[in-house]
Amino acid sequence: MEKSLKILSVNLKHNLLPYTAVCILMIILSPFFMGTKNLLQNQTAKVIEVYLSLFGIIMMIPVFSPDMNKDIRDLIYSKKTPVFLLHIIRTMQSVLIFVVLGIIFLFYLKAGNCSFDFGKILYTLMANSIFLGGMGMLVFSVTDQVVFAYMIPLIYYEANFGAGKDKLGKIYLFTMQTGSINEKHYLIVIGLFMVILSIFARQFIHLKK
Amino acid sequence: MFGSLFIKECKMWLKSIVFYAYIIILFLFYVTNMDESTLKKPKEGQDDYEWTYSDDKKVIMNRTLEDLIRDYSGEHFVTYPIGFYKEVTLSDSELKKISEYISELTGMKEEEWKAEYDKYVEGLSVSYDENGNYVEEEAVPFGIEVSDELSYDEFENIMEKVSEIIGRGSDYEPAQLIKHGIVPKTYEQALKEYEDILHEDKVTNAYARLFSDYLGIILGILPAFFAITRVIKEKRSKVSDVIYSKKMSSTVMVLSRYASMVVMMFIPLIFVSVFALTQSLYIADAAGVSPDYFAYIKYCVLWLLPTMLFVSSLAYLITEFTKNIFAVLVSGVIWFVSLFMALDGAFLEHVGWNYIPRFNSLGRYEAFNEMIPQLIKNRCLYSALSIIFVVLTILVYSIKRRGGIKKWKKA
Repeated sequence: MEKSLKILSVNLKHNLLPYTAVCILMIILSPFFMGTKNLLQNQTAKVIEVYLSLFGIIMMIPVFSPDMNKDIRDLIYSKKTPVFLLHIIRTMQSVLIFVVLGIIFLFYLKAGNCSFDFGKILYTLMANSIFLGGMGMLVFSVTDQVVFAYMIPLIYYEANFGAGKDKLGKIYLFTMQTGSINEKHYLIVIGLFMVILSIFARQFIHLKK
Repeated sequence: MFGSLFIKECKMWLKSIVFYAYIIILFLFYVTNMDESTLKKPKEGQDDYEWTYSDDKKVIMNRTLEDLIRDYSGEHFVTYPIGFYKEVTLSDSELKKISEYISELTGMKEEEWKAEYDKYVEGLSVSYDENGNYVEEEAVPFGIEVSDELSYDEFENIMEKVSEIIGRGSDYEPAQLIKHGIVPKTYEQALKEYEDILHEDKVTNAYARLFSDYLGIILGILPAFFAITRVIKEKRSKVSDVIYSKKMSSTVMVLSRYASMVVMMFIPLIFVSVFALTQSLYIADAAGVSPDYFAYIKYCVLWLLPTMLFVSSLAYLITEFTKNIFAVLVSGVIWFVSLFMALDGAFLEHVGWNYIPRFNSLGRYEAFNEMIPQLIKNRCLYSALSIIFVVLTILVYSIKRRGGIKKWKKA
């Protein structure tokens, strides 16, 4: 327990702090360029799906950043604590941070007289963010290239605007704006699968490097 | 020296996963977005010819006035600052000002146009048809019109003041007023647009514009990853000190890297455009038109290349300066904001000073012709900015190479 807390505090201080600050800034700036009052369910869904979904990319990709440097990686791998455990703790911390920030934002919207189903919208945020973040983590884990890890989910996010539901089917990100939540189940399951796969891949692909 | 370094850099890109991902993304983006179905000539007596925006000033003025009075009466104003819905609540004094502007537009006293509007609202009946659709029936037509004595310029001036009160991104901004005058397209208009695609655009130009519109979106961010990758690669391989000590000048070093980056991004774009051209040639052939074979290359160089130059040079400068991936965030934010800000134009046709020009229409030759002067200015601006950013990158690189600004000044 004490070790986990230590990992959490070190990761927050030396890794996640700037990314958390970016997410907080995104929330603070949002009322200046988008409506946060009297929004209906579909309008709230648009804000969450188009804007806050990016939390996943911002918060989850840095999970592997600290061990990008080979010397640090060698050091981490030589420690007693299994690396996959370290990555699981870091991932959970990233998800927890953006979920908490998301909840604060949703309460702010509720205070602004927005009418929406809190649970469904929070689920939408989690599904989209975990999917995009998981995609970035998997790319990072396999290629060991941080730039590539940001590139792929960002391009996928953009592709959703042009390709639409017809071409992307169950993994289309913007379905809640038309009231459909079914696709979110697919997104969250595939997202979690990518997260798990990325942690395992990181463990095995880079163990001998 | 430049030549050999340039070739080395190009070879390096051939071994990079980012380069191949770029090619795949470019191609997929083209395939998933472009709809190159055969052109259909409009037939007289068709049920409809889609819709268009009226160029009749009177129609635009009266429809805008109608929308303004409705918004004013419901005290419900909406703006889309960067494409997101934003409800605006005006204060009593702001509402009073809007009311005064309406009086100025109509040439009627406040109580007169309000009484007219009340009569119209009383005559409204609302029902739902068999499909559950909302149907509004008017017993009394909307009878309030813009005063005959008001010119369009005066009208625009008043609307500018109205939009200043409501806030940025409202439909009452002068550039958005056309949106209020939506009307069904006539057979003659539809035929003229079709004829323009065949004879003015020679088919290929119309499709090349659509191609540039779509590819411009993705090229608004992809080149940034090239530049960031290049700098981060050097940092991770820890060879900076060795490279810094080489004889070649910083100018040659930075320019060869930048040029190779741009060339290696531009060649795949040309390949994708050739693929798109063959599709357009087929359509032109089916329509019996002699095509413009250079349409795509022309648009790639004049429209898309400046975007590529700008995005890559900005990311290169930031990454060379910070030596981290901060440029991903900056490029991402600029891209996100630019993309959404471009959504406010009628027909999704928007140039202005946005680094991602949009023209999401097939044809509309005359509308595009009107946009050309601004498009040229826009492309020149971003090309010039790219040169400035590259010069700054050379400067940053030389300073770092010398070991800091003090040593650089002494040298």
